[in-house]
Amino acid sequence: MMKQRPALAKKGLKTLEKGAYLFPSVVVFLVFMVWPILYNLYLSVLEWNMVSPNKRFVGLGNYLKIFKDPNFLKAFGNTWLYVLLMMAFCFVLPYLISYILGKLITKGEQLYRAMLFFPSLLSLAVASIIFLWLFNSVSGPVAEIYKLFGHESPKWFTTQGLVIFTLTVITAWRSFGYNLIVFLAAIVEVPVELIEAAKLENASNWKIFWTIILPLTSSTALYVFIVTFVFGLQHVFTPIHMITKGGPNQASTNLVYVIYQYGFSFFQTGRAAAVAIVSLVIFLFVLWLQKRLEKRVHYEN
Amino acid sequence: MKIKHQGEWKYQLILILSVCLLFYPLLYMFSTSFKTLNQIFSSGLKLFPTEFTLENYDTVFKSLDILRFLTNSFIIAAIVMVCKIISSVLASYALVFMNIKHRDLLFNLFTVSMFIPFSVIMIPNYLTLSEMGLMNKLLGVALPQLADAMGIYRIRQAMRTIPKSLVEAARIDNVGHFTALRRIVFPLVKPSVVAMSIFFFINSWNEYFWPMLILKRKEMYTITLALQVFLDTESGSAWGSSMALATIATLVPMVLYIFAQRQIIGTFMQSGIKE
Amino acid sequence: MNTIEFKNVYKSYDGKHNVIQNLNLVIPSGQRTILLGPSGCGKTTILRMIAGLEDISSGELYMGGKQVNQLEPGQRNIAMVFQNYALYPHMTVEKNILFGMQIAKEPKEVQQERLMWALDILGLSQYKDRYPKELSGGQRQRVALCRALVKKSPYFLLDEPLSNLDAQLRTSARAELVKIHGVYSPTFVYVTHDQVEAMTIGQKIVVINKSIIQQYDTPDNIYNRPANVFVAKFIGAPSMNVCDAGVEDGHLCFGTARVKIPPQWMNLIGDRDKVKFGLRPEHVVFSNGSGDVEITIDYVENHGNRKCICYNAGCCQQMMATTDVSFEIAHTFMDIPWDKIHLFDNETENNLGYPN
Repeated sequence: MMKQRPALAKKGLKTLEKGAYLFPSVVVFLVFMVWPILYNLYLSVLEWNMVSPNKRFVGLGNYLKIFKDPNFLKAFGNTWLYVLLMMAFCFVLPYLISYILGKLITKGEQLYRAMLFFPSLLSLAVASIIFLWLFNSVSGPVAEIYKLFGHESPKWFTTQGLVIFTLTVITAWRSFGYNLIVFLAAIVEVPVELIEAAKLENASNWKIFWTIILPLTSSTALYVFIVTFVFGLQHVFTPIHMITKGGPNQASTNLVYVIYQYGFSFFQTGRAAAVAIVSLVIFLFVLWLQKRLEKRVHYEN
Repeated sequence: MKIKHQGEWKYQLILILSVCLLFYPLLYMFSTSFKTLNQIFSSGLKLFPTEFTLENYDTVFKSLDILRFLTNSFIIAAIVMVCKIISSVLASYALVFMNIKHRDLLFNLFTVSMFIPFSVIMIPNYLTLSEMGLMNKLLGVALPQLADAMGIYRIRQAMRTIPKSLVEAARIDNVGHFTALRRIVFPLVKPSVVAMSIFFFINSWNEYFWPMLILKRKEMYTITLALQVFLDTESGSAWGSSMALATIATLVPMVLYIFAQRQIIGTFMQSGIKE
Repeated sequence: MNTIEFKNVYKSYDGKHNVIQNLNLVIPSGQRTILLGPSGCGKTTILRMIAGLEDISSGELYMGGKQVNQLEPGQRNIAMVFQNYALYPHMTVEKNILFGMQIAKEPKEVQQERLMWALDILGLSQYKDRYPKELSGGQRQRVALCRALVKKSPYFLLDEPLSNLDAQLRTSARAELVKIHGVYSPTFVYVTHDQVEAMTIGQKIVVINKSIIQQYDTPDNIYNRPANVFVAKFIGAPSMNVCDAGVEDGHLCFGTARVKIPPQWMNLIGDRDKVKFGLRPEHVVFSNGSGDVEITIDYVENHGNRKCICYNAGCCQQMMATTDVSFEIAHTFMDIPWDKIHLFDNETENNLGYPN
């Protein structure tokens, strides 16, 4: 039918219109998020130093080498300590505080909210500078507190293990507010009748948290868990780079920072890419775990 | 809704403590920027300077081209903000009001991409930009950040609160999509758009990692990158100047935050993060 | 003329299951046609297909003689009132009403003239500069009507426009709708699940159930000659009593009753041995001492202007009768009024017809 042709043209225009709206976002994502993953895979099977025109194909060589490389192994080990500490500061703490903020106080919620969220909109670089002085083991405020008790302050940035703690504190100081708000948004939605019913049974606030709040906000909690895991390790890059550069002796490097080191300090691009892929796999695994847990949580609710 | 009870003062105390702990570093930075070096080493826990001095700021402004850094930061943040918000608004509108096949799948793909770790894309993007000849250029910093999955998530969330019938009524009046977006949808999601714009601006302003990779020459530094300048001197003599510089770097985000804090928090509290 | 015609129209969302099947319907020009049915019966889908807000999977839709399947909603020259009114919250009443005309680039004088004319008809002139959130539900509804009215479209579509109003407002709103239609007599297509609205507003009613047209007729015919049990029970409140009965030897049998069937009805029954019979509550006839069927009264509701009597006649379900308030219950018999009864086939539930 003659009527078909303009109809098809019209459909084409409509599709073009839809495409135009999606195009900017899609293009940026494809070029700077999806393509790099493939590019990374390609880089990981090469031996290259990022400048020379010679790239040598080594297959899985990089992967095998990194599992024997002390840099990688140290980074891998440190990562778990980072994760543990981050969970404490960026997950548990905001969770509890958001419960208090959202349900246990009646006055001042807006003010507290605004104030606690503020550090999240500051730069980690600024935070690093501030905390570098705060934790200065000779004359920083923390050292002064130790002096008050007649002790010497530990070397916060140059002691194995402790340095991870300090760097985590810096990152957590900033992430706390954001996670707090996310938890708060979920807690606010818990219907007050459930809590009132529990109060009638004389349940303590702590019990209410465990038996009501926790289950009903668990999907949000899983989300924060993932975000803390994936992004926490990346955010701490800034303090590491500004303060310790991974030291002392790789005591503070982690899976994310070591990629930078391989790429821009040791000039072993192939290995950097290999570590990147390994970390991607780990992150994907954690993401998959979260999706599985989320489904289970859904059914139980 | 709240649980009313007597023990509230305990919790108020905990919150006050939290606020104090969180704010102490900021106050410290601010006050230290006005102290002389001697004071910094000797004042112990005392926050406020007994001798108020502007010498740190003097040093900072004299030894660094602060205005240049601020301008660089501003340019990058402005470009990133504008592009992110435009791409997010367009994509969100399409996902909510246009009939797109598999639009839920598309949205989920966008959301998942939020979780792609920077560590994985850092080196390839670095290489890509280098090949494009954008190394050491402000545009090079901005380019990979012209779209934002979180932006799409939040704006879409806001748009979904608009009844579909509003746009359908417009369609019946022969209103095209762009006009519907401009005159009906956008005015109704303005608070979220403003909030996300400011959020994008501030985050870009605060960025360290990616600009550090791309911008190598000092005159191209952003104000945030400039912070490392005073750290290179390990002898610890530049504390006052560091804090002064840090305070300067914090001013813009702080002012924007005070101005838009309600909307930003409001946008993030919109029905949680999951549907 | 501005007739709307569906020819063999099918609609499916997933390609497998049809939500609308084999729809053939002609909506006459210039009249008020009601699409009536329970929730989910497809009436809103049909309306939205006319508007172009839903696609047609196969078949043709004609408006004013032209096929419009591919036409965008904005090009079909229709006006629509949505269930939730769809007023733009960030625009004043005036801006809301002028919006469509601005897009169509009507001259400013025409815009203002139509605006004042429509506001006047609906009594909203003083609210011109208010925002929707400052108006009551009834006022918002009238603004939505205004917005549709100014277009002077030949097709006026309404999707349950009264369902969000409270009961009292609805009565006055119904009259207003008829008045609006009278202004320039567009082809009015009105979707509702409220049979009172349908009966009072419609000139023609399309009764729909499960996306199949049950009956398409005037309100009177639908009320007095329902095409099947569904239509019979859907229209009229309280709804028609429909009972199963056997046919034995020329007698209607249910419970302990055996009522002789007049010959003109027997012709319609043919050789069926089972029928369903329907009797509207207002047509129930009670008698004293003796009658066709013995009954027991269960309870009586006093509605102020009438009484509703729930009783048992030995048939499959409780029956209802409505009577004058002055009615005193002392009766234990019911008569079958053969001039008011309806008979339906037991399997197909279709009306068997009426004797000449």
